Amino acid sequence: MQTNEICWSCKGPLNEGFFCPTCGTLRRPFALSPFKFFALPFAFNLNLNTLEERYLDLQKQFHPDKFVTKTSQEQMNALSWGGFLNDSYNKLKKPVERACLLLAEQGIHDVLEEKPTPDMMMKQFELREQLEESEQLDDLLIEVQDDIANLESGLVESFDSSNFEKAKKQTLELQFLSKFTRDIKRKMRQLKTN
Amino acid sequence: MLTISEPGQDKKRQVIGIDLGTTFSLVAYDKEGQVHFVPLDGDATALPSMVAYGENGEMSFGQHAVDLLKAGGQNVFYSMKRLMGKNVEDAQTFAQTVPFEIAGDAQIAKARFKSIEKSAVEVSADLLKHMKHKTEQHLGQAVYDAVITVPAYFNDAQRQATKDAAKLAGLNVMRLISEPTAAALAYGLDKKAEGQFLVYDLGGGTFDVSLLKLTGGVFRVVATGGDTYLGGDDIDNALAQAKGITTLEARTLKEQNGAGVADCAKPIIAKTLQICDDVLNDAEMTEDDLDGIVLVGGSTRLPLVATMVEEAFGHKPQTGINPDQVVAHGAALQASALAGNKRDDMLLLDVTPLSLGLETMGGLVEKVIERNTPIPITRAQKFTTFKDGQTAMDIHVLQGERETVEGCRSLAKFRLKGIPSLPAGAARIVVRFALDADGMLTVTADEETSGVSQSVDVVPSYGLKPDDMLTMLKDSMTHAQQDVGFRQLKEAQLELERVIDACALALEKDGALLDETTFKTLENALKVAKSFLTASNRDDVEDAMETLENAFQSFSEQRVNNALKQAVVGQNIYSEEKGETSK
Repeated sequence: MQTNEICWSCKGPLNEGFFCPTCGTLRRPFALSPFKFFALPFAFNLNLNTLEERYLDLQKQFHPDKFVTKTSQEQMNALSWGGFLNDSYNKLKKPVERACLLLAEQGIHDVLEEKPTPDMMMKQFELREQLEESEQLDDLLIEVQDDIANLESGLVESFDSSNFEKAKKQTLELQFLSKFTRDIKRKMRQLKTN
Repeated sequence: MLTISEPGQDKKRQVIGIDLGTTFSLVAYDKEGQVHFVPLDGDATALPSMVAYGENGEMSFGQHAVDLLKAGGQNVFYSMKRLMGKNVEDAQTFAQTVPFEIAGDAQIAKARFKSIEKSAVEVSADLLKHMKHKTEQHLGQAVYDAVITVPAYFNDAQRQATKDAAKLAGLNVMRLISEPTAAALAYGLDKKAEGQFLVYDLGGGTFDVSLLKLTGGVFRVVATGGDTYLGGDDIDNALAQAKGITTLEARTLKEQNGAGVADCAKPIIAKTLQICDDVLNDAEMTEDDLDGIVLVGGSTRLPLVATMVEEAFGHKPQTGINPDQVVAHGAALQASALAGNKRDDMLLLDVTPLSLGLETMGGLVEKVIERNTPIPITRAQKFTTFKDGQTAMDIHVLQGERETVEGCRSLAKFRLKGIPSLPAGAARIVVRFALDADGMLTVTADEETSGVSQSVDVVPSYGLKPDDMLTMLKDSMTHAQQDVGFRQLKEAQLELERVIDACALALEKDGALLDETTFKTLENALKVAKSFLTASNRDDVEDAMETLENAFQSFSEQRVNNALKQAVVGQNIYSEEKGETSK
């Protein structure tokens, strides 16, 4: 397979790789899905060990430190790829952002900008109330963590069965619960230090 | 097969690591796997970070400056690192704890001693220039490329100021690395430490803590924290106040661990331990997850530091490398690795210590890059207009953890103009943050509807305007200018080498596409170009490159056409890809 682009350095033809097949210099950045960059299947289910392994492999290839003795153009390319690598890694690692990436692949954008349904609003309101009133938060934390685990396995199913509307709702809910977990933990720390 | 010779027959330049400290500065270098320290002050390798300016502009450094200070000399500048990247307003917050009067303006803070005012950049540049000179004397060759360490918790302005000082001193900063990370490199590479380490770095004027994972040559910073207003100097000041003595006398008393030192040091060490706790929390770890603790910085010599750290975390601190030297030691190893001297498997993954964000409605800050994110990183955030027909938008970039604009540090403000007149919410403005491996930020804003795209690059600065920098560069020694000239020649030679390399490989691979005469012509063009690799005139080198590129142009076109002909039609796997998505 060939792309229409030519190498910035030797002006030769390029293939699907990141380095020019003729002169070996690092290519200019081009649009790429984080899943493809990490050679991962387009699925919500993700083996975190594989992600870590690929991440370090890619870092060894693209980190700007590996290009300090190269020309300034190649250094700039490395900066772009290195920046894209870390951004991709952060997104793939976080379930909410991973779900957003998968939805974006289906042309569904800005999922997190959408308003929650009245049902979701009610539930979120109740949870917030519990957090404010209670000083014993261990049970609440366990409950929310269970909900998160259920949502995540629900997302695996939704994406596997291409039910993107459902996945969208689950992503929104997961977004709320991840933030909420942080709030619980923050309050727990405050209670501990006081 | 064509062989390519190295350009520049002169021997490879030695790269160095520099620890530019609040109280002491050091230079180290890695030669054949062994780290050496440069004697900077007589036989001493640790140069007191002090510069004394005489009436006629003459300068004294290090111990000589210390002696002048003790003798009552008035124009001795020290502890200047505390002013790095600060303006007057920033500096006022710690005016009580520094030995000089704060001057300068809203752009850049200066220290005033008697009649002379100097910024931290100016004094640091003079100090670095002196260190460079001493190193060149010691090595018997010119030095140019350096890794310089900065506190992990240094913000964008402080990093930029450090780079500017190096530039003024005629040094090329290969990379800024953080001090605790440098210390971890030294322990990891030369002491083969592995596991999860907390690096506790209490210097003269700053406190840093980093949590690192060390495995198989990969140094991964997990979380970092600190306080750029907290250091051993604060113990001196507390001691001086308690005893009614000068800070210099207090420093001596502290070194002897005399009476009353522990009482003054305790609250300051307690503050540092709280920061360590926060960092562990950030990483969702506890002290049980730690494999060891490394103490760095001269202020950790105080026995109470090791005692309190061990009490808090249940680990005896690692020893084996001199805590005064360990930062420069690590910097030298990193410089060597960057220069491509073996150590290929080594990889350093650092993080940004502070969150970066944008001002949104109501004076709030929306985080675009969270702290402890690995760098380099590029991240895009989408915005839209909130009024019908809005054609401009103010972009305000901030650094810090607080949620309000007042609680963060303003890095840059700019206005994106020329947004097409559209109903509210219809324009699509994408603001991209690019944070490089030195932790320096560039922000770009584009308007993406109707194909109109406009971008503004902003490199935030601590207030040194590009013009100021230029003037300062001109004022700096001609020595530095010679270095700039040398650098430009080297770059041109490197560029020519790259083109020759590329052309030679193309000829080797697809030479069969050419008839014999053309092949010979191109081969000849390569030979001619190669003869310019060692030319000492930059223009000649650049001309040679242009000539070579012209000679090869039609061959390049032939190669691309040939490759396209062979390609399967319609199989461009990337043509369907969407760009990077964002929130």
